[in-house]
Amino acid sequence: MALQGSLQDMSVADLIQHNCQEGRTVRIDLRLGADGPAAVLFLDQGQIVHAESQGESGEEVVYKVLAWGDGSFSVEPGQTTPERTVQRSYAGLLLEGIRRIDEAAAEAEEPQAAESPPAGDAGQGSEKEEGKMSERLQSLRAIEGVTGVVIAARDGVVLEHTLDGDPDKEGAVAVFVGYAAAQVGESLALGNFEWGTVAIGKETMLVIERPDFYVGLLLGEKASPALVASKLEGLLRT
Amino acid sequence: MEEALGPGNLMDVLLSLNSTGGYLVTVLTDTDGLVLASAPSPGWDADKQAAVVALIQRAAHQAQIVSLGMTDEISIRDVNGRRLICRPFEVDGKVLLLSILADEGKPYRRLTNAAVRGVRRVWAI
Repeated sequence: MALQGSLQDMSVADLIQHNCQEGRTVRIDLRLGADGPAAVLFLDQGQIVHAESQGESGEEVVYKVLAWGDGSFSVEPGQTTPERTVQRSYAGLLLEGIRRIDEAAAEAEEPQAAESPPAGDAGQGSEKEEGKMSERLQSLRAIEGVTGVVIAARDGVVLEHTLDGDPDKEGAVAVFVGYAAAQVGESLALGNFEWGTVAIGKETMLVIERPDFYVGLLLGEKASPALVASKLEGLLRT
Repeated sequence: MEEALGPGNLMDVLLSLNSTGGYLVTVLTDTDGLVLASAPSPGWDADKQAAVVALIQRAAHQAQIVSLGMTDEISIRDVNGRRLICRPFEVDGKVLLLSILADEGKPYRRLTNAAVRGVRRVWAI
């Protein structure tokens, strides 16, 4: 039986992530708006294998539908396709899709950003509060040994950050490490995930999971993850 | 399955690492999660560990996608202090993953460095 719903209740990214994480084989039909273009995605054992819309197929279709914020979906379990037009992992597709959406949003805002903000234009601009760090972010950044902070939602969207570089990349790393940690914990029947680290070159990121988000802290070379983690836990509880 | 697996020389490297470090399990895989060699302690299931390593490998791969350069180490710690440490490294252009499960406080950096060198030596033969 097909599951149906609105993209306002469940985004395309959430649909993909949920079904892929569960390792499902399904067909997902999508429609933009009430009578806009349609698209179909086929997932095979937790990976997107085929995507098609308006005579186009492959990864570009996935990136396109990830930007659909309004419309409807239906998920039909057990539906397969012999076609294989998508090779990239679902996680890679989501990251690239999110990156493109962010890039498009930034490009759309750029002309306005160069000028003074128009008075009374409090619409979409109010969603962007970069530069205005929350107290939580400031206190995390103040921990000795921490050089940067990124807080990312479970779908990889960066909620807050203090990074000069690319917060989306760092947020994505935090989410993937945190997600993998949860899976590992289950598979090994270990205790609950406390924290994880990922070291890339001279950079180390400490990852802590909270119920609704992941916190990624970039650490200086001499910082102790355990020490920072103990301080972080205290701050996040308050 | 608690017995050591893998070609003799690789297994020796891992057995040595596991016993010297006092780890619960040590596994060497390729990027597809295929176990090349493993050295579990009694009571630890190498197949289960290999499945876990595959998950970590995926995370490491994603970390590489979204970051610059090769991931050096991924470490996950539970509330009891037990850590799963995964260290990707290259041998002849092929990426392998050395993973250990260690109780709290067990040092691992120098030992795994030595094991990586050992694997590279075996690989070169």
